[in-house]
Amino acid sequence: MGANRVGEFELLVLLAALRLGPAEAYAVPIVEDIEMRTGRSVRRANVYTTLQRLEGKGLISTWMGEPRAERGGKARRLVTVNPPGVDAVKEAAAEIRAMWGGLETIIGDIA
Amino acid sequence: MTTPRWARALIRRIAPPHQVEGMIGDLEEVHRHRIKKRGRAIAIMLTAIEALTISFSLLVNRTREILSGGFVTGSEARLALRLIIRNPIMSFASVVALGVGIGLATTGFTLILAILNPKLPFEGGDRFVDIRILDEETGQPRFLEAGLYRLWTDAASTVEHLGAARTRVLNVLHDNGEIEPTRTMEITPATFRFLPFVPLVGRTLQPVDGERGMEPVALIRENLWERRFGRNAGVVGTRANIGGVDRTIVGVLPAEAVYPAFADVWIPMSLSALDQPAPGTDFSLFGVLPEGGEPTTVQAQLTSLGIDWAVDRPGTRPVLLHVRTVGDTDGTERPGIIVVVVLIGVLVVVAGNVANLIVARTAARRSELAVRTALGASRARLVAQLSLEVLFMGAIAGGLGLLASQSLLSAVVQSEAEDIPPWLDLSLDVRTAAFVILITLGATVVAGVLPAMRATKADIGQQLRGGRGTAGPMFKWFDHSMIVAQIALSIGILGTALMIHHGWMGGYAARDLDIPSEEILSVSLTLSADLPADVAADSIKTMLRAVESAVERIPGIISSSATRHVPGSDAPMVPLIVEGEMDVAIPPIQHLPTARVGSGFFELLDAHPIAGRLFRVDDYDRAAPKVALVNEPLVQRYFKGVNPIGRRLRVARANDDGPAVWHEVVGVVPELGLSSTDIERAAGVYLPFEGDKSFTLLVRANGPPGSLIPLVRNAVFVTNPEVAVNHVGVLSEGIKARRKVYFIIGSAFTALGAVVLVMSLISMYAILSFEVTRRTREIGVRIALGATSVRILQPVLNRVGAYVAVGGAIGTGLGLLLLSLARATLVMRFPSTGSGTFILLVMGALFAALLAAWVPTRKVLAIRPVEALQAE
Repeated sequence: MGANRVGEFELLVLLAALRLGPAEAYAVPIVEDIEMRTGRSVRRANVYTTLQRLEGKGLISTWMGEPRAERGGKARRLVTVNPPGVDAVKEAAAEIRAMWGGLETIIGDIA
Repeated sequence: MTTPRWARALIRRIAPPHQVEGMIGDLEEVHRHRIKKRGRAIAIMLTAIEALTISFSLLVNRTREILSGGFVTGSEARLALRLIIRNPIMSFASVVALGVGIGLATTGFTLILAILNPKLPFEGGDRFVDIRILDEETGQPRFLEAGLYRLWTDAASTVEHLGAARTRVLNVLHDNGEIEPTRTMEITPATFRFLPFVPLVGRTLQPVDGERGMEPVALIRENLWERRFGRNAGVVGTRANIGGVDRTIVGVLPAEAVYPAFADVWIPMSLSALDQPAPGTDFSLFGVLPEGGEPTTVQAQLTSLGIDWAVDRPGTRPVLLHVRTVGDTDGTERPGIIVVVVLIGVLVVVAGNVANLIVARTAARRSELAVRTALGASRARLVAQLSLEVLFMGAIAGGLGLLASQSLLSAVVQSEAEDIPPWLDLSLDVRTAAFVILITLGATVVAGVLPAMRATKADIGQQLRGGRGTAGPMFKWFDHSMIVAQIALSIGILGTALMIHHGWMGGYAARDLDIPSEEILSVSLTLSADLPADVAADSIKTMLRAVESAVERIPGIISSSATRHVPGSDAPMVPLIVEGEMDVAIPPIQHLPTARVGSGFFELLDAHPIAGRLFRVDDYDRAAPKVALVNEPLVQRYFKGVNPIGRRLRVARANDDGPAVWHEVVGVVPELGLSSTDIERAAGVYLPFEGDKSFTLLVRANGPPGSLIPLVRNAVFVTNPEVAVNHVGVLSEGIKARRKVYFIIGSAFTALGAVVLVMSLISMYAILSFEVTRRTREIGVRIALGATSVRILQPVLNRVGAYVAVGGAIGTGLGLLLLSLARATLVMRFPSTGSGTFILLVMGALFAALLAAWVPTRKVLAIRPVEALQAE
């Protein structure tokens, strides 16, 4: 338990990658997804370094897609969340829920 | 439509290789989206900012990884140390090279720091100003006159204190009868109110000490107190004979008392010392500004007072003043800064050299690195590990360089040389330490981190699969320019050093003078008394005769002779005019070495005239016809072998309007050492010695004269205590010592050049070895397809030729520049030889470079194509 604890921004990146799915998750839509849902401004540089870190921890894998014309013939580096990554997300969510318990009367429900 | 090229190049350079394509694709995709949404101009701006931000974040991330990723684990440190020990030759060469570079750069930095920090190192030191007195008409320095000094001290309101000081070597007679020539400071006693020196024992000087009729007193400095009195506090109140005057020692100054100059004895200046103004009085003037005072206002007021003073005294020329804060470098620090930049340049070249060695060795470890990567080691970790080894070597080299630099600077300070400002602070301080750390880290980055990044840039996976990878040179231009710079530097330094060394040691300087130098003592004397110019010459002659006869009374001494020139040293170059130009074409004014020698000089040296006669005693009479002797090389060189006896010559003066004083050539003597090193400067003239305050007494003994030295010192002191004996030594030892100095300097330069040349050849070998090893498979394929050895070797040899040709050309230019600089600035002279040395050197370097290229190439050519294809 807790071997692969993730930080707040790492959690957001993991959630965005899970939502987008292995065929569409790469840095550009991950940024857009986080910005759209949280309303905060995200720098792509931070996403790159976070992806590097997550890959180093073994929580995600990356792989090159097909070259695409709209990208000047460059391929996309797509992200797949590995099972340990999914576990890390679940653990983070459980921790938040556990800490939330009993505070509903003060700050309302979690969702 | 595409992103700026530089942005792509930046990311390509900084991002991990496997992420480059994805990141550039993302940049492109977002850029196109921005163009549609916001227009081209804004899109370019935003994309540029984004590329910079991404690059910066990646760099920060990589640094963080290196620092937090177990940069120095125990096992990695041990591995690095093991690699250093396992390659002792390379490690030694790297440490020595880096140490020399760091030492040189640190020495230069410390000197510049001291020069750029001109304030005297005590509180209120910035209020001290130097006041130079010049002749308004000629711009030449003028001596300080008593009347002017009194006027300035009485009337000047822009300066709080005007002081004067001079240093002379005076004889101090110790209790045991020993005479010690000691540097003595004569200073206005009131100056001590502004100096921070607290006496260790007793008191300092007081204004009354300089007044007429007061008891003569003296201070001694800590160095002398320790050396001669064993720090005995009882020294205060004792009497000592200093320069023939019995003085009471009233206090001991600390060793830090070094302003206005180094001196072990300090005595009060009496205004009467200025009453007989004479050349050689040599008092220097300085002032202390009031709070907020400016040197320029002092200059204006003193100049104005000086003009009024000159107007009141017809026939007196006005003075010109130059006032500046003590230590104000007045722009003279610029050459020093250039020296530091050059020294740091040397360090960069050295670090680049070490980098090449590291690259070549790392190339051999690529398979090991590939395996480590496959096992999960990050690139940052590999870079850190490879850099650690260089960091260790850099730390050792930094320590050694700092040690060497401090030893050198400490030797400079302890020499208490007169031309070094004594208050220069050359000790190690925080800034120097920070500089050493900085340049050591810088050298480590150049020599360790860059090669490591380059070695690990390969797609390691490809390597494991047997591919060639992309481990090409990351900074190819860097390698090329480093090798060319090294070759240029080595040929420039080595060529210059060899020419100077050969000039000094190879010919003229190495010869034995045909004189009995083992039986001659050379006694350097200075008359410390102030004599008016009009009586000086006769007084000195009288004093000289007294000293000579006292010395000749010592048993074992045969004869003595005063001279301004010591055989085997450089005689001053004097502008001479030779009368008539009928026989040979002689320029109207010729600068020739000219020695003024006393009666009996040639007889003392056992020299006989080749033609004509030697000087006679009556030639030294003021009223006698003026005569001269010339030496044999001058006859050969300027008179083309024609007998010069009867020809006349004279000294060319700046204002050549008085009656010409011609000297008739009455004899020709052999070559007796008018130059220490240069045969071309040995062709010269001898004139009779006319008396001077500084001269050398040559003393001929009837055997080895070493044991007579104390007797000679005493004889001089007893005859005239105001004659300071600066140095006594056997002439042959002096010649040997001078030759040794030349030998050491020449050898040091030669060794430095040789080290740089060898390093550049090793570096070239390392680079080519790396290149050839990397291309083993390609060469194998080409051999299999029938390529000849010549075709395969040609590009390598072409490149070596280009290195040496470009480096050799630059190096020859650099060397010729260094030679002309050395000729213009070195006090020591050396002969000019042809530039053939540089041609030979370039050819030698080409041969050695081809050898360096041939060794690795031969290995590859010797293997069979099948083996070559199995390489890596």
